[in-house]
Amino acid sequence: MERGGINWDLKSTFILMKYQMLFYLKTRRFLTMLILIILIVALTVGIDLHVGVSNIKAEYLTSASYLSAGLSFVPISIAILAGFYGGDATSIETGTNSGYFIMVQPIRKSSILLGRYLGAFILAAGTLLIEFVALGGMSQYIFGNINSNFLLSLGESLFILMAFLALAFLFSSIFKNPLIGILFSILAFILIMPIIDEVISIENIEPWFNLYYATNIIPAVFGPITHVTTLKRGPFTSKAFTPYVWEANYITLIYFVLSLGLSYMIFRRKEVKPQ
Amino acid sequence: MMNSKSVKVVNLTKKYRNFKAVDNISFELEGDGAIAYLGQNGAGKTTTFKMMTGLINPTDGKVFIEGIDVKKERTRALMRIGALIETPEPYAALTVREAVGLAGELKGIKKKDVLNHLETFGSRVKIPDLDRKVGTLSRGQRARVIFVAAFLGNPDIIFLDEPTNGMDPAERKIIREVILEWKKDHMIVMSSHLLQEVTDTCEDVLFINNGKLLLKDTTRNIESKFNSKSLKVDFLTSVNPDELKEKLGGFASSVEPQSEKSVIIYFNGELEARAKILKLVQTAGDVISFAEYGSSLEEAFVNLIEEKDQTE
Repeated sequence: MERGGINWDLKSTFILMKYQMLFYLKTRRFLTMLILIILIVALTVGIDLHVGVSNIKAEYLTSASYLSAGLSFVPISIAILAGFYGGDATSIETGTNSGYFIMVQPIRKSSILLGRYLGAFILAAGTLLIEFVALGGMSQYIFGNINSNFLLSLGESLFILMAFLALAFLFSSIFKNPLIGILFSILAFILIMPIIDEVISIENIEPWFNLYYATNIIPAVFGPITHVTTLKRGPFTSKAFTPYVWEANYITLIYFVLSLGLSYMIFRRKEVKPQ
Repeated sequence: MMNSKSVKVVNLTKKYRNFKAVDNISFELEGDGAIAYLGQNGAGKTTTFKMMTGLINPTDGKVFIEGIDVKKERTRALMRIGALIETPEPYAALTVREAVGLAGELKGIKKKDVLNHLETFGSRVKIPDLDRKVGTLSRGQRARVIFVAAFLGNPDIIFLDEPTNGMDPAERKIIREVILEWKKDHMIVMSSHLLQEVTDTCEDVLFINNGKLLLKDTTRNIESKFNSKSLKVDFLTSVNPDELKEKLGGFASSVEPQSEKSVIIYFNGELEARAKILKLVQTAGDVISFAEYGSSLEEAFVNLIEEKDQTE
């Protein structure tokens, strides 16, 4: 193979992807995430089985409403997976001495970033699939079918995971310390962004600028989407917003492109400076 | 245009705000051999190495590796080089085999060639057990793993920034032997604090101070210009430095005790004075050893920096 061309860059990207996955598997990060997701799934499935098929059928009536309720936990899983897999993705090169090992090799920084991104996405997506397989299986077991929008929900989840992961990569480029990058990402994804989503909705403003808002589409695809719902909370009335599919896709796409682009720009300019 | 085994540095400058880490340095290196890049801590050695390997971009100037502009075509420029800059650490979770394998794959080296390198070169530098995790290795063991990775793929040019840092004397000896062997048909550019190590391995020397290139010459030329001006004399029994100084008269500028039975004599460096001192010290007691103290290179290094400081 001619060294230095586009084929070389692609090859380098896949080498980095392979070693990124190996790195995660070796650091037991994948195992930890796997156990966490299996626990969430086991809890959900366990409760359903304990309640009993007839009671679940009576409560949810259809596969659509069952899956919609079950998959409403997916955004949390996405947030945790993205934070853990992406929060230290580039800072491990620029903030530790590892950079002096990798970056003196004939490899572009874009290949490092892309390879790391692909490796992280494959493992995170693989873990997330477990949740879908379990809930799809339960739907088949309880209702004898899986709602046709199941795959759409899965597709939206993977797309949103891509954007969250890209955002975590951006944080990893900003923060020098890998651990701080991971912690900040998780904190932002499971606390700050949902709070912003909630507060802005209370103010009757659609949080279209918040990636977390897009996650509402994952359970919402199973029914007709009500874009605005007026809620009464005691003396107060507020609005709850649900994005349309196209709207969620736009938000996700913009976050994905901007986050990964910015992450690359910062990573490209950053020098290796171990702490 | 230079091509095979060549490094060309043109007006290289690196500025950090108002501080110039490297200040308008130019030099050309060509062909096989070992070249030492020397300077005090913070002189700009590592910054130059980083710019030569594209780890950082210069504020101004250019670096050409085998005729290829490192800034414009970094990947292509790095194809034929091996580098050990600062203290690289492969991912701690990888095994030695995986870490070297990663470097090999990124250099486009076939798996069997990597394994062959691990067997031959690896065993030569006593690389740790290939199945051990990098994170469990000592500093010296890790340094040897990095050293093996830097020499992967038979690179034309090898940059070694303090290659024996963290190594014990036995490990340093192995590395010195490898450099002596490899420099016969490779270009090795290295920095080191151990000037004796440099004297033993390098034919050419570049001196850098405060980011500026002070001197580029052969080690032999430098040694002849800067004869050692200090001698270490060991006696069988204790000796009084003041009495010895009196005996040496005008031949010694000062006599400093090293221990009860050992002194350092500073003189003008001339061979006649040295011969006279040898005669006179024997009148002060039974001499068991009489040798140069410090290397000529060290003298040159100190003198150059002192001269530079005086002119500024």
